[in-house]
Amino acid sequence: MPNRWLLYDSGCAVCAALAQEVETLSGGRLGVRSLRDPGVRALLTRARPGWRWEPMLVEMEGERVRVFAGLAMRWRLVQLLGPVRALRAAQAVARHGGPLRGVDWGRRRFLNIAFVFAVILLLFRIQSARINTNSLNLSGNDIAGIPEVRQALTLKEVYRLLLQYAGRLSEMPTVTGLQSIDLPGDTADAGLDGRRRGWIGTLQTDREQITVRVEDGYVREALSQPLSEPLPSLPELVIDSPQALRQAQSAYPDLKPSSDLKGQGLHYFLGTTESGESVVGILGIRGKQRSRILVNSQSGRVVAAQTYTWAGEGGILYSTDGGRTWFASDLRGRMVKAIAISPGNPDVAYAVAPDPGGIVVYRTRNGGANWEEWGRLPPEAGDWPFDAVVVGNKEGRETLLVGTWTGVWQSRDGRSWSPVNGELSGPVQWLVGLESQSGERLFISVTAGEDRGLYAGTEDGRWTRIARGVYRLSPSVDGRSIIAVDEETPGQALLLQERKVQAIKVPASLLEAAGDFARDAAWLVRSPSGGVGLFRNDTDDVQWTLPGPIASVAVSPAYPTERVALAGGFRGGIFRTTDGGKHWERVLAWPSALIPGSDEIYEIVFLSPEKVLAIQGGRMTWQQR
Amino acid sequence: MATAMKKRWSRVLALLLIPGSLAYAASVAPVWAGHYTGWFTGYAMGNRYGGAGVEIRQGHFANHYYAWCPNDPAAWWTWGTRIDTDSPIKQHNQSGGDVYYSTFYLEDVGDPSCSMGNYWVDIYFGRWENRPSSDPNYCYCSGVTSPGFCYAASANSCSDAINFGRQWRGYTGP
Repeated sequence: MPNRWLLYDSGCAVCAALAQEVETLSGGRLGVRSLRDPGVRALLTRARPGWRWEPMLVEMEGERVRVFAGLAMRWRLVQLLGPVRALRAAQAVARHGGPLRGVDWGRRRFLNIAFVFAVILLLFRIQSARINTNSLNLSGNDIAGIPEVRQALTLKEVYRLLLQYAGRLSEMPTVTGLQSIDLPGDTADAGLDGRRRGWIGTLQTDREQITVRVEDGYVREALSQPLSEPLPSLPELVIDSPQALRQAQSAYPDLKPSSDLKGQGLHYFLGTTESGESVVGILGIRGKQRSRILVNSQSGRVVAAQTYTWAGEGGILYSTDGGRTWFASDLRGRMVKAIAISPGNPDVAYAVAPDPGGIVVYRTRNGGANWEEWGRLPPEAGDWPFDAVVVGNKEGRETLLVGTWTGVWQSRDGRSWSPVNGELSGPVQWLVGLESQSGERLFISVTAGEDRGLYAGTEDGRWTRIARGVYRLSPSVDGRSIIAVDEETPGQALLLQERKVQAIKVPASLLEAAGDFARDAAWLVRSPSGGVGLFRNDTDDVQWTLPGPIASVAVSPAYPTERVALAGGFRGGIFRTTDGGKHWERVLAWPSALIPGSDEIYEIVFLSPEKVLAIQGGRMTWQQR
Repeated sequence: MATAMKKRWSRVLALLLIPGSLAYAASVAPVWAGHYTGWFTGYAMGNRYGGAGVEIRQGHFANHYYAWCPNDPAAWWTWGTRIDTDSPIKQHNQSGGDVYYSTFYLEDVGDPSCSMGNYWVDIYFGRWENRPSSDPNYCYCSGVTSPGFCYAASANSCSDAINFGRQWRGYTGP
């Protein structure tokens, strides 16, 4: 029979008296020990790292230690004491005065134990899938009669923990998925020993799928969902994660832990290949690319090495009739992020794209049909271009500026590049040039980090902050004003002109605007909530005329008179209006028919009323490398 | 005497229920940091493995990636992040029966142009394909790698994703 102790706060006289009474009531089933006892604290530190000052129930049987807290503890106490004794414990709490004034919250929690015993009787029919218990089999040195436990587990240890948990269920499930995850406090060196603190496993029965979250060696949460997609059972692995890591590093010595904030360090998973082979996966980086190495979970053979990269899809579509008909350009198979047009030549435009080696710039000189590589940004610029713009100076010389994670980079010839950040740091996610009498003025939006905010400046890198926060920028069709939408305060925006900044109200979910902001009362606006609509800034009325997921919108340079505009769908094609946005016609249903891609039209740009470019989005995929 | 007993039991029951319910709520309710609203879209079929590196299945979702959309606070959430939708989302199982999901785990990324706004959620609807493999559109679905990875079934997950369209929804998350 296991030893069981209810841990209580001996610093609270009422708690101590109550604990003694519960011990008597238990009829020998339960002992009590103080949480202030150093031996008890040492046990908890080993069996349940990060334990909180709360009532707990400890069961020890041989090498196995189980620690219950919260609802799991209450459940267990009702099981041990039975309903009659649990009710008597509740009455004992009532005699001791119930929740006490002047007792700190931690002590009240102790007093509430007995109250909830009987409540559990009422609640036990509720199928709560949440379990808060440590059921890990412990092993190792026993310093004070307490086995050692480690916070981080290997893949095999967590697999067995899942099986132990599964053993409690009425229907024995199989393990169909297991992966490590980041927990708060994890850093980029997590997983170097083949162990991780956080895991998510999937158990499957004939009827349900149970997602189990393991943190620091104990099952933190288990959630049951209906079974829809039966997955193959993953056999218990012979090759554990530390061994699989050695195999992977032996074959691919360049495998390193990742500093990606979505998943730091080295991660592990148990899964199957497309041919059904059961594998241990190790996720990290090779070079600068996210990578995964697959190792056969039974033999240790390295099965595959893949990187997460652009799938060779996406590119630029072009039109020569104002967006009525569309063609594939020869810039295809590339994930193009942004286009910048030359203000002085309607046949010239630049396209920026991420590349395994950094950022590459392409240029067209014939209105978008053909493209050539124009330049590459230096490695310091990073590998993700957010936005690009061409600005001209008084002498008519044009400069391409590209916003990246390391600021703004400029070049006049594509060969030499220089940063124009000044003192600023952080990602420049939006970048717009504004024509003015004194030359081009730049507006940039830094969207993360200490310098987050909207800035105005010039090519020499001197920036003035206009506002703090995150602003999404849309240029006016005449290049003389900008709408800067405040992404953190719905319905707020700034109208930026050469020497004027004006706060304005806009529809709450607006992301982008197109039109003549300074002179026209009605603009086209895009919002994920409404699609595309007509917004009257004099009355604040908006009429959504193109509902559906829309990714981009642009108006013709002749918009003030001709009222032609285009909208790029989010997996929905390209739409055109000739009446200023009152009615729309779908002019291209499936962009992938021209250039395979995501069918997300990232950007539409008019070079002239006839010549138009559109970016067909790309996709990422795991590819052998 | 009987009335006194009833009163006493009522008092005990009340004492049991109030703090017990609070304790239950405190211990069972997930520790969520926030409630969010955003646009939900759907996708299906496509790549077998998502951005997190593991096989994507029903119950998973994609959102923005912080490296592409640092403006979106949700883009910084880590792989495996759990969200719970305010109301369930209907999907289909292999035989065409309805299944409802209200909990989803983050396993993929999308929308590199950040066009769908902050807190966007792209729900994965599965890999069910009810067309014969000889059909030229077998395992094709707009917005994903096509032909993708799919299983023969009575349902069509791509149709489910298209019919879901775009919905403004609330959810709890980190």
